Amino acid sequence: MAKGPGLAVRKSLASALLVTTSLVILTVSTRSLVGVPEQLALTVLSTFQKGFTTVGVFFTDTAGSIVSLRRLQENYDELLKRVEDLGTLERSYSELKQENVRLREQLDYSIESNYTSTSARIIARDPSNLHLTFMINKGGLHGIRKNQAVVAFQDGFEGLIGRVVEVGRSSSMVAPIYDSTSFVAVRLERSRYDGLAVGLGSPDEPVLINYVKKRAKDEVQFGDMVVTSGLQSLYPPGIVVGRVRKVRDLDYLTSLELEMEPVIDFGRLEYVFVIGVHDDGSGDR
Amino acid sequence: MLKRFLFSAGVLIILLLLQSTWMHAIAVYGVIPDLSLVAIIFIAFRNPGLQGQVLGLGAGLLQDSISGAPLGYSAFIKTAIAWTANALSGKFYIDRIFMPFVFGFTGTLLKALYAYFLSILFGPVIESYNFLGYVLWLEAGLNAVSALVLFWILSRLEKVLLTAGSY
Repeated sequence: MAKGPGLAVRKSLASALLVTTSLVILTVSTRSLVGVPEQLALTVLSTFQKGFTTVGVFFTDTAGSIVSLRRLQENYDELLKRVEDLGTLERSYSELKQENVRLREQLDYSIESNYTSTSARIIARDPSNLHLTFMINKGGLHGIRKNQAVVAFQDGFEGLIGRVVEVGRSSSMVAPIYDSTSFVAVRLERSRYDGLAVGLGSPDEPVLINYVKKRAKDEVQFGDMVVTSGLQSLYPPGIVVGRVRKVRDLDYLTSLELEMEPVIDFGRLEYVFVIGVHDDGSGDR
Repeated sequence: MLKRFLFSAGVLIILLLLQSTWMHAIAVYGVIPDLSLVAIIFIAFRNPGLQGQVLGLGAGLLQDSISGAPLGYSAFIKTAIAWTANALSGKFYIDRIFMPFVFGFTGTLLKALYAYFLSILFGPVIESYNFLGYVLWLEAGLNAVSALVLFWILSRLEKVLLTAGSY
């Protein structure tokens, strides 16, 4: 019985120590002093995540293969028809390409692309509901670096997904553009006005574009394409981000506020491309 | 004792991996249950020792490493929730349905409160729940339903899960 109070005090001290440890770690990590332990745990856990995803995909694929066969036949017929159409288009294309080369020369543009891309598969998503990151199966071993831009192809569009925020050995963490910590320097493709896209922290909510000059009000239209401006060094210029959904001209703001719908449907995202920039190119950090 | 501790840690790691992979396939409006939180509440409630809190810290740190959250965020929340469950340890009888449901639901609300506390302390770098938004209440509901199943499974594994001193 004499041990009772002493034991309780020791237990309370241990509890306080555990809580303090987590707070200290949080304090240090929010000031970005920690990187190695996170990367280590990310690398180890992502290996298991790959295993879980592989098993899940095996069962899903097996069940879906019967349906897929029928779709494949339909797609095959459709593609045959498209090949015929493309034959005609190809002839027009070569003419246009030659014309494009001539025009580029006149405009003194560089024809060679500055970008390379690494394909990656999404292997896991954030285990919490407050954060929206996802994990891809390529990491430092594959040349992925922090802050590289990530894009995806969907329905014929190349659209911006987000950026790499953490890199492990064979996996990386990507923060999407609708994350509340995501800021993308964008430009309205048609009217050429610049703005800053900010995520609202949910894939169901639109991305806001701030700092668009008020005089753009008459020129901005519903459905206008929004691309990266390249003014911010993280994202290369010209990548499609989304389409304008709503224009708000609020009296108390000195600029317009636009709502943008991303061109990529994040709900059916499986594969992405991490964009790398050649050594002589700009836009990589 | 060490074997049991390692076994319980293994269970939590598997639950975390499930959360980040398979659970997203059955997410309701994009919301998934926090299975590791429910398991930590069970362990901390059933074992008056520090097992729940230590596991809460460890599982939280692992979760932070595969999440967009700053390192220490989930660690604090899970340790603090384990501490709360510890304080209530042995004060209630856990039946098959009602109590697991209550533990899962209130545990999630407590998690939101602790997240709010951290957001006040550390500012905008910390994400917290919108108390009027659907995410919190949906997660609370999902955790409550998950608790029915998880509490039943974990109670069957108690002998190999909980270290000495449990009820």
